[in-house]
Amino acid sequence: MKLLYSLVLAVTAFLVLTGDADGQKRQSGGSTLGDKVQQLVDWNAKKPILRFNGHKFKEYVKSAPRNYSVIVMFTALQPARQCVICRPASDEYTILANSYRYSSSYTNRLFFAMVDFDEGSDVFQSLRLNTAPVFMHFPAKGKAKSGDTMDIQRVGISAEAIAKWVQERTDIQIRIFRPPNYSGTVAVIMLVAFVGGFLYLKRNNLEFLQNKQLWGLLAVLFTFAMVSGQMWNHIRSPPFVHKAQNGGISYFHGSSQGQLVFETYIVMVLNGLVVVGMILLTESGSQSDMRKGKLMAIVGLVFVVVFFSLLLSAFRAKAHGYPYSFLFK
Amino acid sequence: MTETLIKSKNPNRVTSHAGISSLIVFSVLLMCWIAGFASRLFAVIRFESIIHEFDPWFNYRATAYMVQHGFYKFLNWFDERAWYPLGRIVGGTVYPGLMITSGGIHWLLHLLHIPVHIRDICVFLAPIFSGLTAISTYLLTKELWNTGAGLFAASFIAIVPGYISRSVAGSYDNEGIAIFALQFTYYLWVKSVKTGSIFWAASAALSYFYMVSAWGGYVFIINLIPLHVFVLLIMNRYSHRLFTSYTTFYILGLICSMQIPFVGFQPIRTSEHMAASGVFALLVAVGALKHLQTVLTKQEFKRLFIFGGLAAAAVVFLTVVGLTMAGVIAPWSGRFYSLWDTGYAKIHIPIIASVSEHQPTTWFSFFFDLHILVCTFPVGLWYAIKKINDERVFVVLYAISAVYFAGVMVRLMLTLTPVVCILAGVGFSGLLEVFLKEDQQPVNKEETENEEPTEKKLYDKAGKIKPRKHDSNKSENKGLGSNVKSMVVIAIMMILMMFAVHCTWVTSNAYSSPSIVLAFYNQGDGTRNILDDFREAYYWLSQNTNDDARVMSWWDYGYQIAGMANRTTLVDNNTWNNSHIALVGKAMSSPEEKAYEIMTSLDVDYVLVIFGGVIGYSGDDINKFLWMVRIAEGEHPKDIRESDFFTERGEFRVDNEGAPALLNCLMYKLSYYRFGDLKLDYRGPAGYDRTRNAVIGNKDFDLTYLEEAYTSEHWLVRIYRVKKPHEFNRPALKTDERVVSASEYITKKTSKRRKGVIKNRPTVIKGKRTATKEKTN
Amino acid sequence: MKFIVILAFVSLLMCSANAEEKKETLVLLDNLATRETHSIFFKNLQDRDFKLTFKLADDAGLVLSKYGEYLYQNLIVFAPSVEEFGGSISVESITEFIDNGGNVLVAGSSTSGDAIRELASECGFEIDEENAAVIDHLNFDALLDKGDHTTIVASPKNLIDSEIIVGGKNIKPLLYRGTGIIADRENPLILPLLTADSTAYSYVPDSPIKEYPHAVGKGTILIAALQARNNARIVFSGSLYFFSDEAIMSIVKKVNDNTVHDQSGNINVINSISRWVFGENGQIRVASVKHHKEGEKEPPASYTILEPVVYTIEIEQLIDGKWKPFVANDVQLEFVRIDPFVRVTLKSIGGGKYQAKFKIPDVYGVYQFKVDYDRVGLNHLYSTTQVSVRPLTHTQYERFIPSAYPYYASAFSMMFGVFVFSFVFLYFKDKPEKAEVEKKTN
Repeated sequence: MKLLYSLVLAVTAFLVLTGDADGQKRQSGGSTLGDKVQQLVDWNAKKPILRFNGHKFKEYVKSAPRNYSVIVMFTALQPARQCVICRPASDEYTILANSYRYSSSYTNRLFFAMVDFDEGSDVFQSLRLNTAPVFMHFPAKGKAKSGDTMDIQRVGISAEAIAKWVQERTDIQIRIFRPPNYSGTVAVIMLVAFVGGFLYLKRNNLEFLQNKQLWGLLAVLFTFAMVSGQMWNHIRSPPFVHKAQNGGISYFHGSSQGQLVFETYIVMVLNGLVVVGMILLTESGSQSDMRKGKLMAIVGLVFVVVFFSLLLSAFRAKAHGYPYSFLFK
Repeated sequence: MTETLIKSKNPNRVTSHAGISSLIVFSVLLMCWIAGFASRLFAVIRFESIIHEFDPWFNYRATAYMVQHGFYKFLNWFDERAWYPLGRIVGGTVYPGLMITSGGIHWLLHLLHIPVHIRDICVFLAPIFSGLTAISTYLLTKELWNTGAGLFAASFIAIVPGYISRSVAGSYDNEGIAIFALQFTYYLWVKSVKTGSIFWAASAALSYFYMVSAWGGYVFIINLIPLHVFVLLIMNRYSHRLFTSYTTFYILGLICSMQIPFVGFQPIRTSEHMAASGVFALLVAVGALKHLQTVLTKQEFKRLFIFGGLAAAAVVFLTVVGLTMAGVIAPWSGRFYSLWDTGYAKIHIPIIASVSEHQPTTWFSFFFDLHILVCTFPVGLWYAIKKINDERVFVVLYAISAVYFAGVMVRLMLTLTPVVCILAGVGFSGLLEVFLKEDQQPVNKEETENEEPTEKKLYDKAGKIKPRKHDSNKSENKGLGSNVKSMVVIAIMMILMMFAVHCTWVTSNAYSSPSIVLAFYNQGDGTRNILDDFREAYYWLSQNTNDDARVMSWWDYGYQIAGMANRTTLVDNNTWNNSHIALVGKAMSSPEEKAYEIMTSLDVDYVLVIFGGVIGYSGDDINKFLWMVRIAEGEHPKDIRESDFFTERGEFRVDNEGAPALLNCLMYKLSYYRFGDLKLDYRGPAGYDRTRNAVIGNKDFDLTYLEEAYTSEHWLVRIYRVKKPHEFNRPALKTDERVVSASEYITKKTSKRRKGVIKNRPTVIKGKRTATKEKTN
Repeated sequence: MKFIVILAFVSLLMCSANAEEKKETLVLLDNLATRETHSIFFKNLQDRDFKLTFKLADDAGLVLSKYGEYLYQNLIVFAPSVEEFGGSISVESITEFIDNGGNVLVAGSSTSGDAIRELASECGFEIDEENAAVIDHLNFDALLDKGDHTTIVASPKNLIDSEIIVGGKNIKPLLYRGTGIIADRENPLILPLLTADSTAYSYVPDSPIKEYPHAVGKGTILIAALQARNNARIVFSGSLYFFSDEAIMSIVKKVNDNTVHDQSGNINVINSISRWVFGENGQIRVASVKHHKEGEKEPPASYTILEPVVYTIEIEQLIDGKWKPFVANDVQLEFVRIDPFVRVTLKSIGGGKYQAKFKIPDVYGVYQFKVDYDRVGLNHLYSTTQVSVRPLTHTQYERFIPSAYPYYASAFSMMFGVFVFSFVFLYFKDKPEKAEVEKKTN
């Protein structure tokens, strides 16, 4: 009974508190600097990113007095808006805000806020924004300069990039703490477990591990992948194909410095066919039936010659002024 | 498999055949040597016997020092002219194998009273060693496959561009001899695995010692051989031969490698070497298990073996990890780490990412360096796996790991090339064995006779026809299916010849320019112009500056300044002190007065910049400038910010839309000083930069703290003198900072009338001087 | 006129005759009367065997240097009102003369010409504007002043406290009439030799004060000096009158102060200042620098880390014409590699020799012994000696480390064990096998 009573008391107290918190929010129209900051800090204690709607934005960001600078992300997270990069952008932004919120350098000089289009479309109009997401910095004093809008096209939307930009604008350095990503390790463990279990199940006939064809195939495929520059694709991540000037699609990168993904696939296939050709030629010798051997030899020869010369012409197209060619120009 | 065995036995059976075949082998290898040597001489023939680009200059300087002062002096050489004022302990920070090799040759020749200048030895060292590489490749391939494949491999490695790129005459660098050491070590290792004799294992260890003394790439060996052992264990191919050879090799190799000062205790301290010791422990454990096998029954042994082996591996792995955590073992150094986490260097170590040869490799450069071999060595790989045995496991692992590393870094193409040659040789020999199979002897003959022409064709590209005709009518008088055979042979020969021609073309066009002397061809008449600005400028430095003058430049040119001008440099190409480089980068990328503070604190006397705007030389300092900024930003993020050097739209441009920070930084001013009033051609505007294709933005500025000392003929090298403090002698007040407004006074002096003016002096009238005088006195 | 020519001729003769021992000095006047009015000063100089060459500042034949050689070491410009020098002399040539180490003494007055102003501002200070004079309504001379309170009595305690430049301070008050000099106090090279009293200011006397005076109180410098970075010395006096016989000889009676001095203290100040400015005084130099390992004589090619090193520097001072050992107790030595690693005060070991003994730090590199001695009045003494400090060579590490003895022991025991084992293995026959063999045989 007593317990119940105290519980009720507690609940009512909580309600009252939250209630007058709301009241404060509502009535703090022309509030002084002190309780504005206090207000922001309170909210920030709850969640690292402050969600502003139209009039909150005006009150806490646009209107003086302010001794704190605000980083605002203008975004449109509603699925209806079909903003593709808004979701990842806001994720990165949340990471940044979190690592700022829980870092030692956390002060009430800088706040992270966001305005969703569907909550504060008037803000978008007032700032004449017609794209999302946009990161803007509202400095404590003075009005926003050109550099105060982050150039997403250039620096990208990764948390590190935003942090660097924030440090440039407001000399507050933020070290990014990403929530550790276990997916890779989990995947590896799963794979190992799977393979191990598989081996364990087939433990009574492990001949397939002795299967040289399989291993050979794997090794050769790996070499093809490397030789055709897949690692370059992995590091530089070039476009798959790109538009030529005359509107058509060009599958080959013009210069010898770069390459396109599709191009590397072509090269891989050509390499593979040449190899097949040579293997056919070699095997043709060890055929019992002479005619079969001849056939294999001829096919292999054609493979080798034709596809190698194709490869050569592809190379030639990239190396300007390369004099030699074979069969095809 | 069987037939190869027969064939390799054959010569031994028939003595005359043995004689002939060994003669052929000898002649082919000789040809390889000559061809390889000759095809590396383009640079010497076109220019002169000169040391090439950057690092070779340091190696040459060190070698000269050693020849002059002796080995121990060299070992303790403290070079106070490098990394001023830190200095550099050269003896402890180089792989001395290169210097010792050429020094030894020099000593030997002089012992025989053959007076050769050490420079010539340095220039021709790499081509000579290419021949040795070919021979050791032949030996290795012979061990792995058979003689024919060996000959093919030897003749491939002799001329393949991937290897020539590092071993042309004049590129006096570690790789030149290291590849030979690599191949030879592998040969000895394979031999020792086959025979299981301590002798071969020990000699493998010695050869490994030479490799360690020659090149940092020895880490590849000390990881690949344990990998081989490990895989053999997994494949249940354990044998006492393996045990003997690896234990001997590892212990001896470990002890030897720790004798190199630069390596020191790394083999037991750093993660790069841990795999070897782990495998060593594992091998011992497996040996113990095998011994238990004699005691236990087969069934329970198998279980014990598998689990025991795995347990041992796990234990070793965990201990290594634990030690690394405890800090006893240093974690992977950045350069190695960037091989696994491929994006690592780009983010964390700009100094590594800035080097062009640490970039990943496109398929283009694979094909460029290996041509036909790219698409034939998988064949060899395929057959190596199909006909697997202990040593072929090794070559398979070699191929796979090397091809991975080559994919990650362009420069590691070098380690890929030998194995590609081996496997391609296997592929081709297997193929030709099929199609030239009457009796075994002509096989070799065919190959050899068709090899040598391809070699010779290097020189006169004319007359590709001859050999074809020759072996076509040779294959005319074959019996059954001779047409097919001849067709195939002809086609293969043509492809091989194209390979030879390609190699020659690439060598002569891409890999034979000594980058300190530039040559370009006029569009109109094909005449060749030589730009010798670098040497001109370095010579100027050596002649016109004090012996202890300190020259500040970007680190690329440190070795050349030290080697050619023999002056003190602040930073150079062994980039061991990032913060010092960052300091120079900061000086280069800050405005003049800030830079002057840094330069005076470092007692800089001269600043040297490379400027290609006049002749359109793209490798100049402005194009490298962003790396200076990045490296400086890494150390001084408060003062230097990369984003300041971009325009609003994030472009890096030097014209009048460029970022102000760029247009006022020291590097910009030093590059473009007086460039604004230079008209390159009559129509074009003044100050038009041909490299950036832009009219520079900041045209008329003057230098306060520096003065132009020298600019080479084509403005490629510009040297500035840093003024000393006492040259700003008096604190003169500018007119604008005066309190009392200065009345501007127009001189009344003329060339004739030199008389001055004195104020409020009674009646100074021309000609009446005497009168006035009398009045005054 | 003729007289001048003769004089010039004679002077030329004399200077050519004894150019070597006598210090050649060119005196530029705007009015030859100055020679008489300032005879005492010139007399003093000539007694200190200076060779004075008097010229009119606007003389068309003025030359400072011939064939790149300077004819004079010192220059006195007592021509306040010169607008432009004659002949080949100009403000540029004079500054060039300074930059090549020449000493200059300049006196302005309340009517200073542009040339003087330019010269002043080339040296970092300014002469107050046209007709401005230093006015002090509380300390002017009761007898000499003409009522505009510009003939002020500067008290010796306003002299800069440096014996070397201005001599002792307990002298009679100084008479001064002329304009004020302005200089920024931040500039380390500028020395305010004599400042006015706190009650003084510099303005045009007979005009109502409209804007704030340029120089007020102690901010008005009466005599300023500059020692350039190349140790050339320049003294600017705001008043030519200060050097005049009248100022030297006349009785000084400060207003509302009954003590009457029979003579002003100018002469002392003038003498010591002229000594200083013409480099007879306050000149020190490094005679020799020696450094070597402790217990050796010669400097080694390069030092090794942690070696004890002895550094000795010998400093001399010019005392009336002869170089004598310099005595001080505040000379410091720095051992610098970008930053100073060692900083010690040198101990005097007599004979002007200063010595420091210290242990080289455990950091290799290229170091500099740096003595940077800069005191007011003395010229700037700066001496650096570059030495390279190298790490231990491979023979300098100790050969047998105590902590390694277990390893030595284990190695040798291992060898021994192997030997014994092989011996046993080879020569030990085990019985049962033999028995077996025997069994087989029979």
